[in-house]
Amino acid sequence: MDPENPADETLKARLHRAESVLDALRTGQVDALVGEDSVFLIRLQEVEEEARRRNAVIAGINRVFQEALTCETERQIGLTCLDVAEALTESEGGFIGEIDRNGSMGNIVISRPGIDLCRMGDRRPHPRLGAFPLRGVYGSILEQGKSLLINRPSMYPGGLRLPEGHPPVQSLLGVPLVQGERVFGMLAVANRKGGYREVDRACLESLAPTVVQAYLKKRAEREIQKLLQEREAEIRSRTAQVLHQSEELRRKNLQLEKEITKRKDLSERLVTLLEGDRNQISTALHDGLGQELVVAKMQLEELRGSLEGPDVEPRFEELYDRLVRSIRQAREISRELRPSELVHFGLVGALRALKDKTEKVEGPGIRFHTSNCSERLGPDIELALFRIAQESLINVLKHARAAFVSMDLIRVGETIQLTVEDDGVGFDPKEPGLIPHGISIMEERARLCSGEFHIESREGRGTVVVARVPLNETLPSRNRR
Amino acid sequence: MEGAGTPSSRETVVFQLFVAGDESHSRSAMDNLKAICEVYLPECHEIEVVDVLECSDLALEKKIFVTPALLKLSPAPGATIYGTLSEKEKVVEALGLQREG
Repeated sequence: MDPENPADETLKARLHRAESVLDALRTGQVDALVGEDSVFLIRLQEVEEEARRRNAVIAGINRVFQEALTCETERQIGLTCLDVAEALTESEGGFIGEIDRNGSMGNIVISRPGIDLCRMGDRRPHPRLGAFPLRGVYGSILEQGKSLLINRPSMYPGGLRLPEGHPPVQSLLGVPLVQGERVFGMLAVANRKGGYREVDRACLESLAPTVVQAYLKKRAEREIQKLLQEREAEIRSRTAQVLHQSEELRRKNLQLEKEITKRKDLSERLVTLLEGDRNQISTALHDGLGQELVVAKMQLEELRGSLEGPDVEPRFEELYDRLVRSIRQAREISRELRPSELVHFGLVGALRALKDKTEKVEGPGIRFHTSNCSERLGPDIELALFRIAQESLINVLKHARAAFVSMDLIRVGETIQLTVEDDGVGFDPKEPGLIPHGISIMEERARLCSGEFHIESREGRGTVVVARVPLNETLPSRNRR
Repeated sequence: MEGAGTPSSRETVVFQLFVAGDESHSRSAMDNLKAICEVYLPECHEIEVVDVLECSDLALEKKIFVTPALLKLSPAPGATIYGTLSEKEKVVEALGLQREG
C-alpha cells in the first residue's frame, strides 16, 4: 500500500476511526489522550461532577442558613438539614441525634415515617427512637468524632443492632456534629442506591459545620427568648407589686390628708371658741358681776349713815375696800380677756400697754421696739399677734426666769413680724412633753392668718418666738367671722 | 493477561484493551468488557490489558490515541471501539458477536 496515495478503503477506515474517537470524546467516555511524548489524563467529567457537587453543597448550606433565619423551632431546622443531607447523598432516609445529659443519644429529627413502627424488645412502641445508649456504629462515630461509611453493615463488627420493625439498612454514612472540641451529636443518612462513595462522605462532612451553626443559633435564640420572657414576667410582677404598694400609699396619704384637715379644722375651731369664750366671760364679768358689784357698793354707801355700834366703822371700811378692789379686779380681768386697747389704740398701743402691765408684776425689764407699724392692720392679724405676744410674755414670767426681754414688731414690705426674745433658762423644743399647750395655739393663730410661727430655744440660752404674717393675704377666717 | 483459555468448539476471540491506569472510564470499560464476554464468549476469549501510562509505545504503534480503547485482534475481521463500552448492544454488533447456542 502506498502511504502517499492511500486507497479509498483505507481512508474510509481512518475516517471511521477518527469519528469513533471524536464520539468517545464528545460523550465524555475518554480518560486519557495518548501522545508521542506523554499521556494526558482527561478528568473533565470528574471536575464537572465535583463542581456540581460543590454547588449542591453550597446551595444546601444556603438553604439551611435561610431556614435558620425564618424557622421557629429546632425541629424545623433539623428537618431542613436532614432534607439537604439526603438530597446531597441520594439517601432514602436519615436522622440527626444529640447526646443528652445521661450520655445517651436522643433524636432531634428523623426522616423515615416507617421508623415509627419500630418496637422495643418488650413489644412496646419505640418512643420515636428516643434516647438510646451509645455503642456500635453510632458510639464509634460519637466517641471518635470521625465520620463513618458502611456499605455492608453485616460485615461491621457488632453490626447495627436495629430495633424490631426497623426498615433494613443496606448502607450508612454518619458524620459527627462538632462544636469546638466537643462532639454533641451526629448526622446520619442511610440506603444510597449502589452504596456510599467517598464523595458522599466529603459532601456530608462539608455540610456538618453548617448544621451545627444553624442548630446552635436556633437554640441560642430560643434560650434568649426564654430568658426575655422570664425577665418580662418578672418585670410585670414587680410592676404589679409596685402599683399595689403605690395604691396602698395613695390610700394612706388620703387618710393622712383627711386627718390633717380634720385636725386643722379642730384647732381652728378651738382658737375661735377660745376667743368667743373670752369675749363671753369678759362680757359676763363687765356687765353681770361688775354691775352687781357696783350696785352692791352703792347700797353699802347708802348704809354708811345708818350703822351704829362699836367696831362697825372699821369693819364697814374693810368691807367697802374689799368691794372696790373686787370691782377693779373684775374690770382688769374683763379687759385682759377682751383687750379694749387693741380696739382703741391698735396693735402698737395694746402691746405697749401689755409691756407696762407685765413690768408692773415684778417681771423682768422689757424693751419694746417697733418699726413701720403706725398703720392699723386687719383686726384678725392684730388680735392674733397681740395674743401671741401676750402668751409669750406669760410663758417668760412663768418659766424663763429671765432678766431681760425684748419685743419687736417690724414691718418689712407686706409682711409684719413679731419677735419676743428672752435671756432665760430656755428649753429643748424637741421634747414634746415640754412644749406648753399655749405654743400650739400660738402656732394655730399664725397659721389662721396664713403666717408662719416658730420657736428657737436651747437649755440655758433663752428663747426666741417669731411670728411672721403677710398683710396682703385675704384671710379665709376673717371672711368667715 | 486475563482470559479463559479452555478449548471450545468456538474459536477464541482475542482482545487488547488499552486503559489509563485505574482511571474511572478505563475501569468501566474493563468491567463492561468482562460482562459482555461472560455472556457472549464464555471460556473462549482472551483479554490483554495494556496500560498506556506504562506502555504508550504499543498504543501509538496500534494508532490508539485515546483510552479506553478496545481492539479485536482475532479472528478477522478486526475492530476498534473507543469509550467505556457501556452501550453493550452497539459493542456486540461492532464485534460481530452472537449468543452461544
